[in-house]
Amino acid sequence: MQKVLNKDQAKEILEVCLNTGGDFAEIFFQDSVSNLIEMKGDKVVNIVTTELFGCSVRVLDGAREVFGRTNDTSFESVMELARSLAASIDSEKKNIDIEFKPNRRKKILKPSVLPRDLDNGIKIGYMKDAIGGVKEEGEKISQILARLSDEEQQVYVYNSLGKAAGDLRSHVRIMLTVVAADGADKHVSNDSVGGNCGYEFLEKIDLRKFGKELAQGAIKMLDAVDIPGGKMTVVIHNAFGGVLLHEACVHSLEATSVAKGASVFCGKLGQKIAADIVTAVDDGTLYDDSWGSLNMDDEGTPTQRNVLIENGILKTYLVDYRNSRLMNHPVTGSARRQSYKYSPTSRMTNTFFAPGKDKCEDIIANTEYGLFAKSMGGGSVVPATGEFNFSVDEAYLIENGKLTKPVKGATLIGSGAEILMNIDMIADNLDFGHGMCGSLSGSVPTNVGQPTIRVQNITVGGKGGNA
Amino acid sequence: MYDCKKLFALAKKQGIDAIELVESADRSASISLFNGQVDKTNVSSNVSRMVRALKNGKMAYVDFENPNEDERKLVETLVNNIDSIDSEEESFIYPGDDKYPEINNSCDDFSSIPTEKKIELLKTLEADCKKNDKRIVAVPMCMYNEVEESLRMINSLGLDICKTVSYAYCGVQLVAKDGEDTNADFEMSAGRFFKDLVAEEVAAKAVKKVTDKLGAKPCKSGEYKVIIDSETMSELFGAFSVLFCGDMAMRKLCNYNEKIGEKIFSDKISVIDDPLHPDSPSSQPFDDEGVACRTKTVVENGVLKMILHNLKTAKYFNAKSTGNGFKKGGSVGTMPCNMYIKGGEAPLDDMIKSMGEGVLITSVSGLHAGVNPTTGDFSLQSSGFMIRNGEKAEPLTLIVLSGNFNDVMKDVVCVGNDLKVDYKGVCTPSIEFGAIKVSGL
Repeated sequence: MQKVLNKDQAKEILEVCLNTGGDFAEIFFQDSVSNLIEMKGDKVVNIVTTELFGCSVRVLDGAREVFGRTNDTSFESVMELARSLAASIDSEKKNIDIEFKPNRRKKILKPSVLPRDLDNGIKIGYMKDAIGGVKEEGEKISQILARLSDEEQQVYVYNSLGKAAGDLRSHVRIMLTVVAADGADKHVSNDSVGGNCGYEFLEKIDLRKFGKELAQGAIKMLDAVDIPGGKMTVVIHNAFGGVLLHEACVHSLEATSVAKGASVFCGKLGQKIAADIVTAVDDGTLYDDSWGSLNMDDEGTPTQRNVLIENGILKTYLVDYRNSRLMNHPVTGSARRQSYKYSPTSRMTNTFFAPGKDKCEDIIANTEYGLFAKSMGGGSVVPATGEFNFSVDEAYLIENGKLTKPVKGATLIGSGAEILMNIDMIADNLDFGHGMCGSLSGSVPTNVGQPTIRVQNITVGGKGGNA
Repeated sequence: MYDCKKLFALAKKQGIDAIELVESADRSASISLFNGQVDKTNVSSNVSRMVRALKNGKMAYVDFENPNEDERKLVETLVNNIDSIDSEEESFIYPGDDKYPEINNSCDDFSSIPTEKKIELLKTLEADCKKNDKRIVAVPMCMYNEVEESLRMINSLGLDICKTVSYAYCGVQLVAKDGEDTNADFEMSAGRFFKDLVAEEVAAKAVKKVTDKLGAKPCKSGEYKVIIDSETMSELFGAFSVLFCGDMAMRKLCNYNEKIGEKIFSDKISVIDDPLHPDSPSSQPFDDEGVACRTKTVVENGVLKMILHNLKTAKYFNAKSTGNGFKKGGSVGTMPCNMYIKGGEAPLDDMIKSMGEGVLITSVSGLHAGVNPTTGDFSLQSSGFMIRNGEKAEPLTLIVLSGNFNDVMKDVVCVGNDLKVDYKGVCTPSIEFGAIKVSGL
């Protein structure tokens, strides 16, 4: 990693930023290397190494923001950027003293085997383990695509509030796509495992089992029939099922939409927005399920556990520094950005429904007719209306309390505010799934999680039936 | 420009057969307005570089931004990565074409337009949205962005070519409320000239879009005659355009390569891929492998004529590159460029009239998750209008449109005359389908 601006230089640049009346300034520097290895079947087909290197500068005057970036990180060049940004602010000078304070918080995440420590052969070995598991499922698997991505991201933040903080993030992730085929019937299944951690993480995972289970799910779905559309009771399984919470609710709790009056949950702090049994958390400090975890956010604020909804009552929004000024709400360690090329805004980390008391088997046994959504695909939401959608990858019909036939082509839609009220059972089997979330400040790793839950009255879209 | 002479010489010494450097410089500037005040300004200038190297038909890529990157480290990474590849699929570096097409990329020098004019545009846009309709309660986003990009591609086989592109766009997001009903929508306009961005037009469209659907409700689940409007159909067809791509076929994720010469769509459908189209800001003289772009008929009256190739997929399928080798996710894949379905004769209003009863779809969401190109299945959250007695009736929301792309494209009743080739990359006119499942109540 290349040496960056020292503290004296950073201070000088921040002072220039504030010369024209700005009341907050920040320098964010990034040096990162990422690798992507792609395999098709047994063969390595592609390897791409990407290095990002640059810095961005941000000046605030109240809630107004001026942002710029460069990948010439010399003192002179960053100073020139600072001058040009300051030139677009014209306020009374605030005489802010900048004094960098020491960081006291201990790091939660300390990756030990970094991507640079391993050669390609060992990384490919992990991929082959997962592929091996898929292959054990035999001839019905017509294609296996595996991708391994790793990234070492060194960041530094200096700001006029006295923050001088650095962090090393190491993201490691294996993604699998399998196609099962039987004559003209085909099913594609995807899944991934990953963490903000070193390669020691992959040693703890049974990659063969991960591949095998994905393949088994895809093969089962070959017999699936199209689901008929309409309103149904839906049991959403644990782990990646948490995408429901992510899309249907928490995007609408991000300051990005709340600060500008574009969320259904504006002005609802302290009010009941979900069923009594619902507690929802965004926790950037998780160690074991660390895909969305960070030591500090991209404004240098330590991450924390934010209880968003407690027994149905809305407790907090997710807020970054700039929006905290607009909303008069404390920051929550939620400011994130894909890279130095983006200005940070409020984002999720590891977001999940807290476990309840029911057993997954009992929830199914208690459901006369409905859909069991075992594995979910992605989704999206319009926070202003709360209308969300997400697709279901692997699903089964529940008839008289039992899982019967596999069904395909289901998309679940609804309005977040309604769905949260309609959750009537929550199991005790909390688990996580790994995703990439896209929003204003780019694409960032986020964990979604939940125990198995039951929701009444979701609209299920599908092309089955004779209606 | 990064010192490629030194890099190329070192690569040759290390046994690399061919090497290529692509350097892209971009400048962008954006302004956002909130409640009449400038809320955010963003100025950026970046230079990014991609180097790719070939040895025994295998290729590896390194992207880098540090202008002082050590060429020894670059070559070492490239050689290491190449040595780890064991696929037999052959990659290529291209010596270049004799001639490249002229692209009409005349444009404004956006940086010379005074900032005040750009702020003025946004103020008009925001004010018009609020003034035109009392039901508009928030304008969470009102933004202008200008982008200038230039790219130079140099390789050890003698290629040295450049291209530039420059455009600007403005967009607005609106929240409308009527009693308890809330709706949100987005509208934008893009062009190579500042005068192409007309605040009043964008505002009027945005307000109509967001207020028309206030009070929308789901309809009864069932099978309906469906018209998908031009903008929405462009998105849906765009999501399935990967079916025409050689890299998808090579990964066996789709099989259009086996269907060339077969009738795959209704004979009312012809598909063109035209990277040279004069109306699109994304027109290109050459692709990301240096192969000259050209206009191609991909589907003619329902019959599949070809699939799109880069150099690698062309070799794999024993074809020629179609100049569609565009970078996606780090390496060169295959992508359409200004792909469109040829327009028909009927205006949308006539289509609605002659359909009589059915559903008009004017937006879909969740395209990244709700379409499966391998099977052709789609199941998408949608909104639109009921059509009754040949007229637009009540607005619809929270419905799901579900079908199979390959089936519905055979079931085309009518193709509209409202094709507009623009920044979207894949464009279609409005299309009427015989029957599609709609899930709601």
